[in-house]
Amino acid sequence: MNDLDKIKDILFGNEKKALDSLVRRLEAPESRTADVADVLPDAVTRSYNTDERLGKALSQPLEYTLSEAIRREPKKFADALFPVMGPAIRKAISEAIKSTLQTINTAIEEKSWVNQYKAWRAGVPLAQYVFQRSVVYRIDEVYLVDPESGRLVSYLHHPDAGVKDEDAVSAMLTAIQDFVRDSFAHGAGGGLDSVVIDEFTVLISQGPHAMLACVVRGAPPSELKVELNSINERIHLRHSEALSDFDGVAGSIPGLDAELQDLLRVQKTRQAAERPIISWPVRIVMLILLAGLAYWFVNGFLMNRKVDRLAAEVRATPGLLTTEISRDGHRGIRIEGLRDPMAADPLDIAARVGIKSEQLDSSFQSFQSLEPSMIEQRAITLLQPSGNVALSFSDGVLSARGNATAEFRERLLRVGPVIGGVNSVDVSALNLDDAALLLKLREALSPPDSVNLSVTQGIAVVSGVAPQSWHDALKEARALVPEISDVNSRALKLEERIRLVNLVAQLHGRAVFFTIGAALLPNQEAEVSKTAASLREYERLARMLGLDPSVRVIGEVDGSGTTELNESLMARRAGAYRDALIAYGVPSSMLIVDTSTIPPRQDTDKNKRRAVLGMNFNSSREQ
Amino acid sequence: MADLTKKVCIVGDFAVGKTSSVARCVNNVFSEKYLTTVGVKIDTKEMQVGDSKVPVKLVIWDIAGTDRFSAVEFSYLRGSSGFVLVVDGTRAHTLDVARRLRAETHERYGELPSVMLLNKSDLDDEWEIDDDTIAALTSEGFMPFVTSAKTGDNVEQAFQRLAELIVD
Repeated sequence: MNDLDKIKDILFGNEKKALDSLVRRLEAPESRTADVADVLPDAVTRSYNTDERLGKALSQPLEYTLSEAIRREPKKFADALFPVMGPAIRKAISEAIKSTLQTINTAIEEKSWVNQYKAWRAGVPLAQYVFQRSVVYRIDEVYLVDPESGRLVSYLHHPDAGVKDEDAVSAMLTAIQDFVRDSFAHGAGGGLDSVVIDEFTVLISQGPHAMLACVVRGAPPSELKVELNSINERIHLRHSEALSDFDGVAGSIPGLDAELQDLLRVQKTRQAAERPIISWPVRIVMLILLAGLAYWFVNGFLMNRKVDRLAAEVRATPGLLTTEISRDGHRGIRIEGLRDPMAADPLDIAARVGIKSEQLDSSFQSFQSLEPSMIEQRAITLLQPSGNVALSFSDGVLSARGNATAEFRERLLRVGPVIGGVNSVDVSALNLDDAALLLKLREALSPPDSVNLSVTQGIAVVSGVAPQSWHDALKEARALVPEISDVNSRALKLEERIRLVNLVAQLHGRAVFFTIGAALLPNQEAEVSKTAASLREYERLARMLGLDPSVRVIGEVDGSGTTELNESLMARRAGAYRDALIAYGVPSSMLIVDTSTIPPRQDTDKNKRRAVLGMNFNSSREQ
Repeated sequence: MADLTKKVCIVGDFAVGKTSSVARCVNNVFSEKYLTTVGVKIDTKEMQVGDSKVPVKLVIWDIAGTDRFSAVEFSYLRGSSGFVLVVDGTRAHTLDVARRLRAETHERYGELPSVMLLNKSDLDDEWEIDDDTIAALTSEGFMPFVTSAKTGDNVEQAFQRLAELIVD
């Protein structure tokens, strides 16, 4: 060792030794392993508590290592996991079966047309819809309990949940857990898994450091229990140390409430209260009862309406008086009272308002109603008027109008006043019919046999031949028989006119014969007398008929002699005849000598020595 | 909810007045029917402890009377922060039961804070435990309170003391 080395040794000897020692430790793997082993547990713990980096860093190598190990030694791992997997698999299968059964039961129970319709509206399969509806529940309370002491580690509850003393409940739940475990499981591990009472279910997840219990309102699905276990496992994973060191201060473990808060968020939309609380069979029975009740009410209501309408109809019907009208049992109606025989039948009235005859029990006593319509009806029934006669009754007066036979009119006047309620009979508007009128007319006019008299629709028709006197009497016919509306006498001929015409025919050309001169033959006196009588009758008839009687007297000659002579002879013969007729009383004013005829020249017929009468066939001049 | 929650148990022989003792000063959450069915009834009691008035909620497990714990009763004591021993002052042998129960508890769960209620102090004529015995209890490690469930005497103080022991 030279001086420099000595100086170095003096100055840095201790540091060099330490450095050499460090180099030796670093170069020796055993010492490095020992160092790492010394700090590794603390380092891992600190890293785990600080953040998740170590866990993430180790996850992949661990996965790889485990996979390799299982691949190489599968039986070894299967044996190791057997005690764990057996119960786990059994439990999983059991939960799955329970869940399936619950779904099937619910589906069977709720597979109604209503759900099918709602599922169709929601656009989801029926099974999915029913399942969604079935998992309705709400978590009211969440207890995280120290299983050792029963003390509450953490507690959350739904805002609407009714809360007791949570510490007491927590302790009591633990006590019951212990009681059940010790009494029935003989101290083995585990404990109550769930408690069901009414609509509440308490789901319990057991852990070594914490018991997680949820009070669920409604029907929790089996998945909730799985979720509960999952959350409890997560809590144990993250807070195992804090839980084991729990000092009794609830809520003192940071982050715990946030873990539990997830449970309160597990809440389905439909509330438990909305679940049907009445089973379908009971609903159907209730529905039938309700339908029956509704039918009973509706039927009763309708029947009451019918009774009311019947009562109103009967009250409005003349000749019916009700003393009682009431429901008789559920379907029957009883009606009692008085009935005029002329009144409408109560059964017909009931039928009009929809009441069958078998539903009606009616009892009516007869009586005579003095209601006007009843009196009128009674008069019609008794008098049997023809269709041409209308009877009416008002204010005590029975009135008839129309055309009637005399017999009916007589019966009306005789029977009418004795009908009950009728004080008097008015026939002023009652016309006799044609036959009755004809009879009355004949009585009033006494027509001659040559006259035909008839009445048609109130009009008297007269034909045939009658003298002027009867013609004059006929003018008084309407005064004598006022029921006659008119008199048609256009076909009635005057007897006097006929006779006048006949006389004109007879007298025209009537001749008297003369001697060769202008003297009447001696045998002509009778003819003159007879003709004079006829002319007087003619004059009388003409005057009676208002005519101006006029007769031409024409002289005739035999044709011998001169015209002048003959003309003179003709005038003288006509004058002689006229004078002769005047002498027999024929008024001279009506006899006109006609000299207008020119005498014949060649005719020598002595029968022409005469005078003739010339009658005007229109006979007369109107005066 | 108080920040601090502690579990305490009330133990003692039959009919020493366990339930009656706490009935007057706790929140009765459950009916006494639980005692005969489950074997335990739980009440809670909120109080403030120490000068700084630390809020503490005692969850009181009223365990059905027995002179010897079975497995079930022991399970109820698990996790307890303290316990109350109740003795019937008119029945001296119940003190022995209390001694045994404390010993069993200590044996199972270690030295837990506890107080002892010598109950039924209102029945003077029938009182069977003399003052010397009571004085000697302190030396045995007990913390005795002469109480009356009927009048409520000293019950509150006993629970207050137990809470202080637990919190300390």
